[in-house]
Amino acid sequence: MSGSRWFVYVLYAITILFIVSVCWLFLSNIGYTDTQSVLELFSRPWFWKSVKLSLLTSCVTTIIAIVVGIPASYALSRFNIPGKTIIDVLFASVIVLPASTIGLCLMVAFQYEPILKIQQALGIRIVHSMPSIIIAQLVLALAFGIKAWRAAFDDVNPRYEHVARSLGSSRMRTFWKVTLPSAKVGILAGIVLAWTRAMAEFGAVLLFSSTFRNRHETQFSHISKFLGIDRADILPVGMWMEIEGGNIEQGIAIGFVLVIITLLSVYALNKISGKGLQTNKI
Amino acid sequence: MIKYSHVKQISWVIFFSAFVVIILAGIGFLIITNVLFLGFSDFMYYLQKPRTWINIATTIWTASIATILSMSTGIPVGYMLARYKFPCQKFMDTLIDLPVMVPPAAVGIFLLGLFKTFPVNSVTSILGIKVDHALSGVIVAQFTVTVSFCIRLTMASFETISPRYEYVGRSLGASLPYTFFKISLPLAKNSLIVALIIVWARACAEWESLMLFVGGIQGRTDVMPFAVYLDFVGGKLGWALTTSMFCVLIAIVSMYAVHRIGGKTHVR
Amino acid sequence: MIRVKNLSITLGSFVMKDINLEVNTGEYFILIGPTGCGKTVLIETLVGIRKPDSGEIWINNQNVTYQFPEDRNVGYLPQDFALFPNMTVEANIAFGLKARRREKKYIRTVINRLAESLSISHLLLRYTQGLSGGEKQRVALARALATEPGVIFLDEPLSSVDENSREILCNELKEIHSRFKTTFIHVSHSFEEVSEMADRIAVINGGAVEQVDTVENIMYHPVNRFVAQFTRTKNIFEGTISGNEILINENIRLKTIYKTTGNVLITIRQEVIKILEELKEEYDNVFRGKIVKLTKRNNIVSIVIDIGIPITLYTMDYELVERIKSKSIVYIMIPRESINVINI
Repeated sequence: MSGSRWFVYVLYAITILFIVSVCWLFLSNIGYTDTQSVLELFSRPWFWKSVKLSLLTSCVTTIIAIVVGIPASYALSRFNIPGKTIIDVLFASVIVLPASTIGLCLMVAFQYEPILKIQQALGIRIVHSMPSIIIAQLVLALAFGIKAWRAAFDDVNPRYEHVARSLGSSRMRTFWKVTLPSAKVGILAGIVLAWTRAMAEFGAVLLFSSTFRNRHETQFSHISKFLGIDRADILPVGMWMEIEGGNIEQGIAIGFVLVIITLLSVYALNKISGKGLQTNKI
Repeated sequence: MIKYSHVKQISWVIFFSAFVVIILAGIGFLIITNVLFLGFSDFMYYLQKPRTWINIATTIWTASIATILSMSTGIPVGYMLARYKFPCQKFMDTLIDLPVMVPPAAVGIFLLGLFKTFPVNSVTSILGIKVDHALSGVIVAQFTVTVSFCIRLTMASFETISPRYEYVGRSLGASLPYTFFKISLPLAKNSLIVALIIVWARACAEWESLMLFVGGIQGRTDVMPFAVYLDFVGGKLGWALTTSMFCVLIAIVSMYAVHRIGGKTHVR
Repeated sequence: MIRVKNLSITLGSFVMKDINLEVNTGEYFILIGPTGCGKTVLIETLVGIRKPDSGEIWINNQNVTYQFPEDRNVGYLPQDFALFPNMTVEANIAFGLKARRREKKYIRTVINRLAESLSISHLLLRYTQGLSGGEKQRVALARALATEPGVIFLDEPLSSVDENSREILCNELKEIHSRFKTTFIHVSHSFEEVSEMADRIAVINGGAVEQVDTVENIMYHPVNRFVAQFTRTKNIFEGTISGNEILINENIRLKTIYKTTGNVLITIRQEVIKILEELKEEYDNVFRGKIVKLTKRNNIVSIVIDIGIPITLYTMDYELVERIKSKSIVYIMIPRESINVINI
């Protein structure tokens, strides 16, 4: 019967169309940008500072996310915490919040009277500072990380832990020697996901930290100058600034840099887990 | 009498749960300060303004169209990938993961380039579609950002439905499309509805790609996330916060719906 | 009539080459083999789920090799029966007829007839979750029979059923088969389970058909060691034959009804060996030995006697067993005609 055959052909066609479209989305831009723009971009010191800044902030963010997120994920996975439903829903909601909302909320939260007074007492100002980039990236990196780590711990059969403890291993030791290694793949995948999300953060940083490129030299601390990250924005923000400045070709070039970084992440993810993103674990 | 082992056990639970509490405190801090800052009366005031509702309505209908487009691509492609093996599977997997992981801002900029180059720019000019600074651009951006994500979700949905049902259905004389619509789709119904809600919520929240692709003009491309940014930059914090709170509301309601429906997916 | 000609199938690194089979109309045919031998792959190819590399499949004089399952008019019961969970029992049974666009009246008649015939009328409006193994099997059969297929394939229908119900289900299957007279091709991994049901059996191993025959011939005349072992023949020995005498281990001689020369493998079913209470000169193949092991399982006593080689025999003569139990020397006789000789 031609019914089945026709159906399969249509499905094939739609799939091929999709694949081609995704490829074309990227390829068409190669034509738009030319080598000259790319080389010009690479010659600007501001660009390399941006790269450094992005990498540095993402790594710090990821480390904080790991330290806070992994134990939290374990607790969510194993323990019956009161109000678990609300917590699950809350954490899941963060992923579907607009970045501008997150940035705005952060802004308002840290400018709030009592909090502002605390900052003044400590002599710091968090809003529009470099550390604020990390805070902005942390929100979503943590959300993605916890989702992945929770799923990783859920996949480890608690029976292994029971057996280990019956053999005399303490809970802490069991966690380090049994649970974590069993969940290794999922944990690593979550780390890559969190890092990639931190690198990709744009909106929250824009609203909370604002831009750095056009600020005056004196506004930067010695540390940032020493690290070579003064007067630079993270890559996505830098990309946007180029567009706003009318410099589309270089903006696209930065876009490609980001895509290449993403490709490396996806490659790493595939290598780690043997499969792609496991987004079926909601 | 409190035993030492009990104390150890409880302290273990407390230690790990503490991290959850820390995160919750962070979220709570964000929400509470914002709510306090805005104040309930102000919230109601801004909420009643037609401008707010125009933004909300724009967001909802553009996101809905984008979701319909996403699901229309997502269901066939997800089904295909779940059932059939493609050559260069690794390449395909990377290609599907890529648009999900690429920063939405970068996606926005690539859409910009896409629409300015051949052949797409000729197609749009022939058909008279304007994408720059227009709502059609919003829908395109929302669609592009969500479609790969949608495919991953639908693919997972169909993978949980055993192909054996289709084999049996076909052995009884039903063609593949008949078994697909009468058996596979109904069985996947709950997971697909969950996918739809998540995609829709994500489309409502999309902004970064819009910033780079469409640009924002008051009153024309104002979806809620955009309105937040514009109001913020314009110093109109009250408006921005109200819209933000509404975004938070949409996010929480959607995820709660997902939580409720997700628990009812067909086993098998 | 189902005919398989030179069928070759590749699945990853697993290959089945040049399979030839013929199943007669109305037969209860059983495909048997260990796990991983290819029986499920073969069934799936016959149903139309898999494409073969080469060869032909003929069902009732129609070449269906390249046809989709929906065009082959076959019935398929996978291991877990795969009853559609989103439909009632009634809707499940009606599915095939609805897909073929038959009239409502006709469908209703068929449903009622089959439901009554298979004693599931009381289940018609229920959903399929929560049905017992036996009920599921009957619903699955009703669903397959509704479209009057040329053949029904059953992939290990007894595996997902608990042991107590298995015998009942076996009898039901056989009874339904004889009532509806449809060709059944049943796949199993256990010889014991199915030996009483089959008209003929095909033994499959590692992607190849070892032997196709009646149950009796497979048990008493296996063509190689694998088939003998698979049917639980316990007496398998290698030796050399010249004339009609077989020599095993240089000191045991067996007289057979075959005449040939060379190296051979012999198999002897444990049910045919006789215990002699006293030595009788007129018999051939009489041996003496010591009882090494004596066990009773179900209703069968299994005795292992060492006559130089270990011979296993089964008997249900309990009184005889009582009498010889304590004896130090026992005599056994192996009938000439029951020694199966395979040239190797």
